Amino acid sequence: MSTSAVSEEDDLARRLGDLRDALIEAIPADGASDELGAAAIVAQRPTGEAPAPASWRELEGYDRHARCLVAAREGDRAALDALVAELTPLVWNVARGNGLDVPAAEDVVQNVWLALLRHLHRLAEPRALVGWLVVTARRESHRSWRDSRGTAPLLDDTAEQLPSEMWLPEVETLRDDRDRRLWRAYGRLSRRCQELLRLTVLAGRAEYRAVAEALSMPRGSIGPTRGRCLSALRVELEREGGA
Amino acid sequence: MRPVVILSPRPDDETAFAAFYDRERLLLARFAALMSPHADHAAAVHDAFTRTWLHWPDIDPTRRRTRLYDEVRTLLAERTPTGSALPERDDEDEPAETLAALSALPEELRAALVLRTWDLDDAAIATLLGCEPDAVRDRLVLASSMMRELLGTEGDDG
Repeated sequence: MSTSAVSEEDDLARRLGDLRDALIEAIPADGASDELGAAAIVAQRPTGEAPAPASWRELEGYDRHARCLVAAREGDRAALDALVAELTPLVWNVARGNGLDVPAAEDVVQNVWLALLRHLHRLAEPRALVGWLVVTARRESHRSWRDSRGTAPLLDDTAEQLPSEMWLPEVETLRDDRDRRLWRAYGRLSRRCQELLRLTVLAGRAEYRAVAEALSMPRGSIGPTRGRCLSALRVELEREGGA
Repeated sequence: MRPVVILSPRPDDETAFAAFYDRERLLLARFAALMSPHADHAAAVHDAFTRTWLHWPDIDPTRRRTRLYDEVRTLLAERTPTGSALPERDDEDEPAETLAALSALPEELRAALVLRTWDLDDAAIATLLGCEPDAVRDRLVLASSMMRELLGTEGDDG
Protein backbone atom coordinates (compact mmCIF):
# COMPACT_ATOMS: atom_id res chain seq x y z
CA MET A 1 0.00 0.00 0.00
CA SER A 2 1.38 3.38 -0.92
CA THR A 3 2.13 6.01 1.70
CA SER A 4 -0.68 8.25 0.52
CA ALA A 5 -3.15 5.36 0.56
CA VAL A 6 -2.18 4.73 4.17
CA SER A 7 -2.68 8.42 4.96
CA GLU A 8 -6.13 8.27 3.34
CA GLU A 9 -7.04 5.38 5.64
CA ASP A 10 -5.72 7.36 8.57
CA ASP A 11 -7.60 10.45 7.45
CA LEU A 12 -10.91 8.57 7.20
CA ALA A 13 -10.32 6.86 10.55
CA ARG A 14 -9.46 10.21 12.12
CA ARG A 15 -12.58 11.88 10.67
CA LEU A 16 -14.82 9.06 11.91
CA GLY A 17 -13.04 9.18 15.25
CA ASP A 18 -13.83 12.90 15.50
CA LEU A 19 -17.50 12.20 14.79
CA ARG A 20 -17.47 9.49 17.42
CA ASP A 21 -15.95 11.85 19.98
CA ALA A 22 -18.56 14.53 19.21
CA LEU A 23 -21.29 11.94 19.60
CA ILE A 24 -19.91 10.70 22.92
CA GLU A 25 -20.18 14.27 24.13
CA ALA A 26 -23.70 14.72 22.72
CA ILE A 27 -25.01 11.36 23.99
CA PRO A 28 -22.88 10.57 27.04
CA ALA A 29 -22.97 7.28 28.91
CA ASP A 30 -24.89 8.02 32.10
CA GLY A 31 -23.95 4.74 33.73
CA ALA A 32 -27.35 4.49 35.37
CA SER A 33 -30.21 2.10 34.81
CA ASP A 34 -33.09 3.84 33.03
CA GLU A 35 -35.96 2.12 34.83
CA LEU A 36 -38.40 4.81 33.81
CA GLY A 37 -37.63 4.47 30.10
CA ALA A 38 -37.98 0.69 30.20
CA ALA A 39 -41.16 0.86 32.29
CA ALA A 40 -42.75 3.32 29.87
CA ILE A 41 -42.26 0.76 27.11
CA VAL A 42 -43.14 -2.32 29.16
CA ALA A 43 -46.42 -0.66 30.12
CA GLN A 44 -47.52 -1.07 26.50
CA ARG A 45 -48.66 -4.67 26.35
CA PRO A 46 -50.13 -6.49 23.40
CA THR A 47 -53.42 -8.10 24.35
CA GLY A 48 -53.76 -10.40 21.40
CA GLU A 49 -57.18 -8.92 20.67
CA ALA A 50 -58.16 -7.45 17.36
CA PRO A 51 -58.48 -3.66 17.31
CA ALA A 52 -61.76 -2.72 18.91
CA PRO A 53 -64.35 -1.72 16.34
CA ALA A 54 -66.16 0.42 18.92
CA SER A 55 -65.96 4.19 19.04
CA TRP A 56 -63.32 5.62 21.36
CA ARG A 57 -66.18 7.06 23.39
CA GLU A 58 -67.11 3.57 24.58
CA LEU A 59 -63.60 2.48 25.53
CA GLU A 60 -61.26 3.01 28.46
CA GLY A 61 -57.55 3.08 29.15
CA TYR A 62 -55.03 2.19 26.46
CA ASP A 63 -57.72 1.03 24.04
CA ARG A 64 -59.47 4.39 24.34
CA HIS A 65 -56.23 6.33 23.80
CA ALA A 66 -55.24 4.18 20.84
CA ARG A 67 -58.66 4.64 19.23
CA CYS A 68 -58.59 8.36 19.98
CA LEU A 69 -55.23 8.62 18.25
CA VAL A 70 -56.47 6.76 15.19
CA ALA A 71 -59.65 8.91 15.13
CA ALA A 72 -57.60 12.10 15.53
CA ARG A 73 -55.51 11.06 12.53
CA GLU A 74 -58.74 10.84 10.58
CA GLY A 75 -59.67 14.36 11.58
CA ASP A 76 -61.84 13.72 14.65
CA ARG A 77 -61.22 16.89 16.65
CA ALA A 78 -63.24 15.66 19.63
CA ALA A 79 -60.96 12.62 19.92
CA LEU A 80 -57.89 14.84 19.97
CA ASP A 81 -59.52 17.09 22.57
CA ALA A 82 -60.27 14.03 24.70
CA LEU A 83 -56.63 12.91 24.51
CA VAL A 84 -55.39 16.35 25.53
CA ALA A 85 -57.91 16.64 28.37
CA GLU A 86 -57.24 13.19 29.77
CA LEU A 87 -53.47 12.96 29.35
CA THR A 88 -52.40 16.52 30.15
CA PRO A 89 -52.27 15.68 33.90
CA LEU A 90 -49.77 12.93 33.01
CA VAL A 91 -47.56 15.26 30.95
CA TRP A 92 -47.84 17.96 33.60
CA ASN A 93 -46.79 15.59 36.35
CA VAL A 94 -43.78 14.34 34.41
CA ALA A 95 -42.66 17.95 33.85
CA ARG A 96 -43.16 18.95 37.47
CA GLY A 97 -41.62 15.68 38.63
CA ASN A 98 -38.49 16.63 36.69
CA GLY A 99 -38.10 19.73 38.78
CA LEU A 100 -39.64 22.39 36.54
CA ASP A 101 -41.54 25.36 37.96
CA VAL A 102 -45.10 26.11 36.87
CA PRO A 103 -44.34 28.38 33.86
CA ALA A 104 -41.67 25.98 32.54
CA ALA A 105 -43.98 22.98 33.04
CA GLU A 106 -46.72 24.80 31.12
CA ASP A 107 -44.29 25.31 28.25
CA VAL A 108 -43.37 21.62 28.32
CA VAL A 109 -47.04 20.58 28.23
CA GLN A 110 -47.60 22.83 25.22
CA ASN A 111 -44.46 21.59 23.45
CA VAL A 112 -45.37 17.94 24.03
CA TRP A 113 -48.83 18.36 22.48
CA LEU A 114 -47.36 20.29 19.57
CA ALA A 115 -44.87 17.45 19.09
CA LEU A 116 -47.76 14.96 19.11
CA LEU A 117 -49.53 16.96 16.41
CA ARG A 118 -46.37 16.88 14.33
CA HIS A 119 -46.01 13.11 14.88
CA LEU A 120 -49.71 12.26 14.73
CA HIS A 121 -49.36 10.27 11.53
CA ARG A 122 -45.98 8.82 12.37
CA LEU A 123 -46.45 7.20 15.77
CA ALA A 124 -45.65 3.59 15.02
CA GLU A 125 -47.82 2.09 17.72
CA PRO A 126 -51.04 3.87 18.75
CA ARG A 127 -51.12 1.74 21.90
CA ALA A 128 -47.72 3.13 22.88
CA LEU A 129 -49.05 6.70 23.07
CA VAL A 130 -48.80 7.04 26.85
CA GLY A 131 -45.21 5.84 26.84
CA TRP A 132 -44.38 8.18 23.97
CA LEU A 133 -45.88 11.11 25.89
CA VAL A 134 -43.91 10.24 29.03
CA VAL A 135 -40.61 9.96 27.19
CA THR A 136 -41.24 13.11 25.15
CA ALA A 137 -42.28 15.06 28.25
CA ARG A 138 -39.17 13.91 30.06
CA ARG A 139 -36.95 14.89 27.14
CA GLU A 140 -38.61 18.30 26.86
CA SER A 141 -38.26 18.77 30.63
CA HIS A 142 -34.55 18.00 30.50
CA ARG A 143 -34.14 20.40 27.59
CA SER A 144 -36.01 23.12 29.46
CA TRP A 145 -33.89 22.54 32.55
CA ARG A 146 -30.68 22.71 30.53
CA ASP A 147 -31.80 25.87 28.72
CA SER A 148 -32.66 27.70 31.92
CA ARG A 149 -29.73 26.55 34.03
CA GLY A 150 -27.06 25.57 31.57
CA THR A 151 -26.75 22.19 33.24
CA ALA A 152 -28.37 18.78 33.18
CA PRO A 153 -30.84 17.83 35.93
CA LEU A 154 -29.96 15.12 38.41
CA LEU A 155 -30.11 11.70 36.88
CA ASP A 156 -33.60 10.28 37.40
CA ASP A 157 -32.42 7.34 39.42
CA THR A 158 -30.48 9.56 41.78
CA ALA A 159 -33.04 12.30 42.01
CA GLU A 160 -35.96 10.05 42.69
CA GLN A 161 -34.38 8.75 45.87
CA LEU A 162 -33.97 12.22 47.32
CA PRO A 163 -36.57 13.96 49.47
CA SER A 164 -38.08 16.82 47.54
CA GLU A 165 -40.00 19.94 48.50
CA MET A 166 -40.70 20.76 44.88
CA TRP A 167 -44.31 19.77 45.27
CA LEU A 168 -45.18 21.60 48.44
CA PRO A 169 -48.18 23.81 47.66
CA GLU A 170 -47.96 27.52 48.28
CA VAL A 171 -48.41 28.35 51.95
CA GLU A 172 -51.55 30.41 51.43
CA THR A 173 -53.35 27.43 49.99
CA LEU A 174 -52.94 25.42 53.16
CA ARG A 175 -56.15 25.63 55.04
CA ASP A 176 -54.96 24.70 58.46
CA ASP A 177 -52.18 23.24 60.50
CA ARG A 178 -53.10 19.68 59.67
CA ASP A 179 -52.64 20.36 55.98
CA ARG A 180 -49.29 21.96 56.67
CA ARG A 181 -48.12 18.93 58.64
CA LEU A 182 -49.36 16.59 55.96
CA TRP A 183 -47.52 18.44 53.19
CA ARG A 184 -44.34 18.69 55.27
CA ALA A 185 -44.51 14.92 55.77
CA TYR A 186 -45.15 14.46 52.04
CA GLY A 187 -42.14 16.65 51.26
CA ARG A 188 -39.89 14.24 53.15
CA LEU A 189 -40.91 11.23 51.06
CA SER A 190 -38.60 10.07 48.29
CA ARG A 191 -39.32 11.58 44.90
CA ARG A 192 -40.36 8.14 43.67
CA CYS A 193 -43.00 7.86 46.38
CA GLN A 194 -44.17 11.41 45.80
CA GLU A 195 -44.54 10.75 42.10
CA LEU A 196 -46.48 7.53 42.61
CA LEU A 197 -48.82 9.10 45.15
CA ARG A 198 -49.37 12.14 42.96
CA LEU A 199 -50.27 10.01 40.00
CA THR A 200 -52.46 7.54 41.80
CA VAL A 201 -54.13 9.97 44.17
CA LEU A 202 -53.74 13.56 43.04
CA ALA A 203 -53.89 13.06 39.28
CA GLY A 204 -56.44 10.37 40.00
CA ARG A 205 -59.38 9.38 37.82
CA ALA A 206 -59.68 6.31 35.65
CA GLU A 207 -56.25 6.68 34.09
CA TYR A 208 -54.15 6.56 37.22
CA ARG A 209 -53.17 2.94 36.98
CA ALA A 210 -52.02 3.20 33.38
CA VAL A 211 -50.22 6.43 34.15
CA ALA A 212 -48.40 4.93 37.11
CA GLU A 213 -47.38 1.94 35.04
CA ALA A 214 -46.13 4.13 32.25
CA LEU A 215 -44.12 6.23 34.64
CA SER A 216 -42.21 3.74 36.67
CA MET A 217 -43.90 0.61 37.89
CA PRO A 218 -44.03 -2.88 36.48
CA ARG A 219 -47.60 -4.15 36.46
CA GLY A 220 -48.54 -5.70 39.78
CA SER A 221 -46.14 -3.71 41.91
CA ILE A 222 -48.17 -0.50 41.90
CA GLY A 223 -50.45 -1.51 44.76
CA PRO A 224 -47.74 -2.77 47.14
CA THR A 225 -45.44 0.16 46.40
CA ARG A 226 -48.26 2.62 46.87
CA GLY A 227 -48.99 0.92 50.20
CA ARG A 228 -45.35 1.30 51.27
CA CYS A 229 -45.39 4.96 50.27
CA LEU A 230 -48.56 5.57 52.24
CA SER A 231 -46.99 3.83 55.25
CA ALA A 232 -43.93 6.05 54.93
CA LEU A 233 -46.22 9.07 54.75
CA ARG A 234 -48.01 7.89 57.87
CA VAL A 235 -44.68 7.56 59.75
CA GLU A 236 -43.61 11.04 58.68
CA LEU A 237 -46.98 12.43 59.63
CA GLU A 238 -46.69 10.91 63.11
CA ARG A 239 -43.32 12.61 63.50
CA GLU A 240 -45.10 15.82 62.67
CA GLY A 241 -47.41 15.25 65.64
CA GLY A 242 -50.04 12.99 64.18
CA ALA A 243 -52.92 13.51 61.83
CA MET B 1 -57.75 -17.83 7.51
CA ARG B 2 -55.45 -18.66 10.41
CA PRO B 3 -56.08 -16.47 13.44
CA VAL B 4 -53.20 -14.21 14.39
CA VAL B 5 -52.00 -15.16 17.85
CA ILE B 6 -49.91 -12.65 19.73
CA LEU B 7 -48.28 -14.10 22.81
CA SER B 8 -48.46 -11.85 25.84
CA PRO B 9 -45.21 -11.07 27.63
CA ARG B 10 -44.77 -12.59 31.10
CA PRO B 11 -43.33 -10.88 34.20
CA ASP B 12 -39.97 -12.60 33.49
CA ASP B 13 -40.02 -10.95 30.09
CA GLU B 14 -40.35 -7.53 31.70
CA THR B 15 -37.16 -8.12 33.68
CA ALA B 16 -35.35 -9.47 30.64
CA PHE B 17 -36.54 -6.56 28.51
CA ALA B 18 -35.47 -3.98 31.11
CA ALA B 19 -31.96 -5.50 31.12
CA PHE B 20 -31.93 -5.62 27.31
CA TYR B 21 -33.07 -1.98 27.17
CA ASP B 22 -30.32 -0.85 29.52
CA ARG B 23 -27.67 -2.87 27.66
CA GLU B 24 -28.60 -1.62 24.22
CA ARG B 25 -29.93 1.92 24.60
CA LEU B 26 -26.64 3.84 24.54
CA LEU B 27 -25.15 2.20 21.45
CA LEU B 28 -28.50 2.28 19.68
CA ALA B 29 -28.98 5.99 20.43
CA ARG B 30 -25.52 6.80 19.09
CA PHE B 31 -26.01 4.52 16.09
CA ALA B 32 -29.32 6.23 15.23
CA ALA B 33 -27.85 9.71 15.64
CA LEU B 34 -25.05 8.98 13.18
CA MET B 35 -27.26 7.07 10.77
CA SER B 36 -29.87 9.82 10.39
CA PRO B 37 -28.85 13.10 12.00
CA HIS B 38 -31.85 14.87 10.43
CA ALA B 39 -34.50 12.43 11.63
CA ASP B 40 -35.95 12.51 15.14
CA HIS B 41 -33.58 9.71 16.04
CA ALA B 42 -34.43 9.72 19.76
CA ALA B 43 -38.09 9.05 18.91
CA ALA B 44 -37.06 6.34 16.46
CA VAL B 45 -35.00 4.63 19.16
CA HIS B 46 -37.95 4.71 21.55
CA ASP B 47 -40.31 3.33 18.91
CA ALA B 48 -37.82 0.62 17.92
CA PHE B 49 -37.65 -0.58 21.52
CA THR B 50 -41.46 -0.44 21.73
CA ARG B 51 -41.91 -2.50 18.55
CA THR B 52 -39.37 -5.02 19.79
CA TRP B 53 -41.17 -5.26 23.13
CA LEU B 54 -44.59 -5.70 21.54
CA HIS B 55 -43.26 -8.78 19.71
CA TRP B 56 -40.88 -9.88 22.45
CA PRO B 57 -42.35 -13.37 23.10
CA ASP B 58 -42.26 -14.16 19.37
CA ILE B 59 -38.63 -13.17 18.83
CA ASP B 60 -35.90 -15.80 19.11
CA PRO B 61 -33.73 -14.62 22.03
CA THR B 62 -30.63 -14.90 19.83
CA ARG B 63 -32.17 -12.49 17.32
CA ARG B 64 -33.46 -9.76 19.64
CA ARG B 65 -30.60 -7.38 18.87
CA THR B 66 -30.97 -8.01 15.15
CA ARG B 67 -34.68 -7.25 15.41
CA LEU B 68 -34.03 -4.05 17.40
CA TYR B 69 -31.57 -2.72 14.83
CA ASP B 70 -33.82 -3.79 11.99
CA GLU B 71 -36.70 -1.83 13.53
CA VAL B 72 -34.66 1.31 14.11
CA ARG B 73 -33.21 1.22 10.59
CA THR B 74 -36.69 0.89 9.12
CA LEU B 75 -38.02 3.75 11.25
CA LEU B 76 -35.09 6.02 10.45
CA ALA B 77 -35.44 5.31 6.74
CA GLU B 78 -39.15 6.20 6.92
CA ARG B 79 -38.55 9.36 8.90
CA THR B 80 -35.49 10.88 7.29
CA PRO B 81 -36.72 13.91 5.35
CA THR B 82 -36.19 13.36 1.66
CA GLY B 83 -34.17 16.00 -0.10
CA SER B 84 -32.83 17.47 3.12
CA ALA B 85 -30.83 14.51 4.36
CA LEU B 86 -27.52 15.89 3.22
CA PRO B 87 -25.97 18.70 5.20
CA GLU B 88 -24.34 21.42 3.16
CA ARG B 89 -20.78 20.62 2.25
CA ASP B 90 -18.57 22.96 4.23
CA ASP B 91 -14.83 22.66 3.87
CA GLU B 92 -14.41 24.81 6.97
CA ASP B 93 -16.44 22.38 9.05
CA GLU B 94 -14.83 18.97 8.75
CA PRO B 95 -17.32 17.03 10.96
CA ALA B 96 -20.24 18.37 8.87
CA GLU B 97 -18.39 17.37 5.73
CA THR B 98 -17.77 13.87 7.06
CA LEU B 99 -21.40 13.60 8.13
CA ALA B 100 -22.56 14.70 4.68
CA ALA B 101 -20.43 12.03 3.05
CA LEU B 102 -21.72 9.42 5.49
CA SER B 103 -25.32 10.42 4.76
CA ALA B 104 -24.69 9.92 1.04
CA LEU B 105 -23.76 6.24 1.47
CA PRO B 106 -26.33 3.54 0.75
CA GLU B 107 -28.05 2.57 3.99
CA GLU B 108 -26.47 -0.90 4.32
CA LEU B 109 -22.97 0.47 3.85
CA ARG B 110 -23.60 3.38 6.20
CA ALA B 111 -24.92 1.04 8.91
CA ALA B 112 -21.80 -1.13 8.74
CA LEU B 113 -19.42 1.83 8.82
CA VAL B 114 -21.26 3.55 11.68
CA LEU B 115 -21.08 0.38 13.77
CA ARG B 116 -17.38 -0.02 12.94
CA THR B 117 -16.92 3.51 14.30
CA TRP B 118 -17.75 2.03 17.71
CA ASP B 119 -15.00 -0.57 17.31
CA LEU B 120 -17.34 -3.53 16.87
CA ASP B 121 -15.75 -6.45 15.05
CA ASP B 122 -17.15 -8.06 11.91
CA ALA B 123 -19.02 -10.78 13.80
CA ALA B 124 -20.69 -8.28 16.17
CA ILE B 125 -21.71 -6.03 13.29
CA ALA B 126 -23.03 -9.05 11.40
CA THR B 127 -25.23 -9.93 14.37
CA LEU B 128 -26.73 -6.46 14.54
CA LEU B 129 -27.28 -6.17 10.81
CA GLY B 130 -28.55 -9.72 10.35
CA CYS B 131 -25.97 -10.72 7.74
CA GLU B 132 -22.80 -12.80 7.46
CA PRO B 133 -19.39 -11.49 8.60
CA ASP B 134 -18.14 -11.80 5.02
CA ALA B 135 -20.87 -9.42 3.90
CA VAL B 136 -19.82 -6.98 6.62
CA ARG B 137 -16.24 -7.03 5.32
CA ASP B 138 -17.44 -6.36 1.78
CA ARG B 139 -19.67 -3.51 2.91
CA LEU B 140 -16.88 -1.92 4.94
CA VAL B 141 -14.45 -2.02 2.03
CA LEU B 142 -17.04 -0.47 -0.28
CA ALA B 143 -18.14 2.09 2.32
CA SER B 144 -14.55 3.22 2.95
CA SER B 145 -13.88 3.49 -0.75
CA MET B 146 -17.02 5.58 -1.30
CA MET B 147 -16.20 7.80 1.67
CA ARG B 148 -12.75 8.53 0.30
CA GLU B 149 -14.27 9.37 -3.05
CA LEU B 150 -16.94 11.62 -1.50
CA LEU B 151 -14.38 13.36 0.69
CA GLY B 152 -12.23 14.06 -2.31
CA THR B 153 -9.15 12.20 -1.22
CA GLU B 154 -9.28 9.55 -3.93
CA GLY B 155 -6.55 9.97 -6.50
CA ASP B 156 -4.02 11.52 -4.14
CA ASP B 157 -1.82 8.52 -4.76
CA GLY B 158 -2.52 8.33 -8.47
